[in-house]
Amino acid sequence: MRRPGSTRPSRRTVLGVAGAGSLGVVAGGVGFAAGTASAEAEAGATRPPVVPTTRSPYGVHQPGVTAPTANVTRVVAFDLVPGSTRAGLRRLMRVWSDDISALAEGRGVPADPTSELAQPAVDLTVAVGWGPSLFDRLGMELERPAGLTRVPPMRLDRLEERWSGGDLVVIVGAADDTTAAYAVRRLTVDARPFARVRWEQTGSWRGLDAHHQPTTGRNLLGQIDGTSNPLPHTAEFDEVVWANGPDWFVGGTTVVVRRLSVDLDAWESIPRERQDRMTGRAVATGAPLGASMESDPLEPDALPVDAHVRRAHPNLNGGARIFRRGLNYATPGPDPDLGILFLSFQADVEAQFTRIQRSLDRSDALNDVAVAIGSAEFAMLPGFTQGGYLGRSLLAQP
Amino acid sequence: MRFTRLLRAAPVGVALLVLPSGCAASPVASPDYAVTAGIPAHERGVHVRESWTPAGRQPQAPVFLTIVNRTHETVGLVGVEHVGPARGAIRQVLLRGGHLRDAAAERSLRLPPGSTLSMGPRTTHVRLTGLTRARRPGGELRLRLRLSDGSTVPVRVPVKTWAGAPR
Repeated sequence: MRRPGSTRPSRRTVLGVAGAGSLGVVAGGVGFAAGTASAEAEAGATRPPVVPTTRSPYGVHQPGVTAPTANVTRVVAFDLVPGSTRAGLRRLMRVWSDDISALAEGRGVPADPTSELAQPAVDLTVAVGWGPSLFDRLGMELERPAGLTRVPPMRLDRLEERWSGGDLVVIVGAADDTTAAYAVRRLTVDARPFARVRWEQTGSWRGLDAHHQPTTGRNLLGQIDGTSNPLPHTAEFDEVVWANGPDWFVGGTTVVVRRLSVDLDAWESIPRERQDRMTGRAVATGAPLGASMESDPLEPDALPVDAHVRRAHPNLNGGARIFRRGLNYATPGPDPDLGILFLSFQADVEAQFTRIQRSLDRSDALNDVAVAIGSAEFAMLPGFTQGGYLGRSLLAQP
Repeated sequence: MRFTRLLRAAPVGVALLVLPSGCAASPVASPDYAVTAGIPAHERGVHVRESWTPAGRQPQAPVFLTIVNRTHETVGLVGVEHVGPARGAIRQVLLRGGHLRDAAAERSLRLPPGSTLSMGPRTTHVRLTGLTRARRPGGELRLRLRLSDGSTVPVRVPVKTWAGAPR
């Protein structure tokens, strides 16, 4: 969808008009509201299509946090091997930082026997984080960012160990799954002396419309997901996402990874009008109930008391907001599991994500069809520059 | 080990890659760090990236790395030192008599401003001799690169499993 008054299409705009929650908040429409569909389509057809690009691996922040949601995202959690040390973590961060630089710029990683797979202009980003357990295991409890706390079990959670926890995480986004799988393979191989895979989850997203222009995108419930997200590189985004400290963590953030299994048979048996009320927005257009456009203002008090966007709205949660990234997942097989791999970025897990999640756990109409079966939290490290490495601001100290 | 004088040019057959820095084919998306004119202050200097050495027990080992000259001056690589007992030498792969030969580099390596020098298997590389300990994956070696201006660049070289290593 597009920002009002802007010629620049936006996938995460309309600040402050809706809440956020475990299921990405709904907004927008299938393409566009009826009255503007042809004009928008015409405009989209005349703009150059969005194509994959090469994303710099360097910066104050890890680019994977702020980059548009990639077509494919692989999230891999690792556990440190027994006997791990802070020095070992430093070596792993050096190796991974080198790998990330090479992969992002289209080169094979050092000692890569499959370097021909490396290509530039594939939207590749790799973001690395540390879980609460890493700080405990390496005797770094005092250096753990205050904003990194564990999400307490919620009343309705049905968490499974195979999708939960982890000492480390890498979040790999790419334009295609060959690239993402290749990057994960290289990072996993290079991690072997230090860490083993605990779990891996893959999600996908369609963030382009029929004219290859950025759009909000839909989850597998058919909802437009991500409408009211803070926009990267704005003051609001900075306030919501980037941590204030400790000093070594300036430029970092926290992420909560939730695996939300959705009973699509149940959801699809619900009449559309009821779906709209459960969500608080029209599934078709993404508009708040009673409005016509995704970007129209949302009045939470005018919505059903258990509507998802009302329960997640900042007004009901002391102003708490998050930057959310919903990804669709679908495990194959005769009894497939489908749902949303939900990534929530915020400065402070407890004050932001957990506060909103408690509200949703108490009363959210979408709880009838969706349940969390995985949960993990990580401190996403500040970015690095050429010649540097991830975590240097902490690990370079004795 | 000390090295001799600056190279004027790489010998024929030497796979010495001197490429423009940031040689990815497509534009870099991050506007904060894209280098469009000059070099950002925080990136200036001679950087080493993507260094590695194969795991092994032998007293000699190759070291591969990439040197990026992000200064406005030409820099020469005049020697490599091991922080430890080993000796370092720069080796080049030359085409002699129809065969590739691994030989000591006859001249030092020259990096013009903004250039990148990649050392890898079957090309120019560093060879360490006199190593006394096995190199296990996850470990690292420490080197110092000696530059023509008298400065040194410390390098920590990760030990990696190499599918191409002799068995």
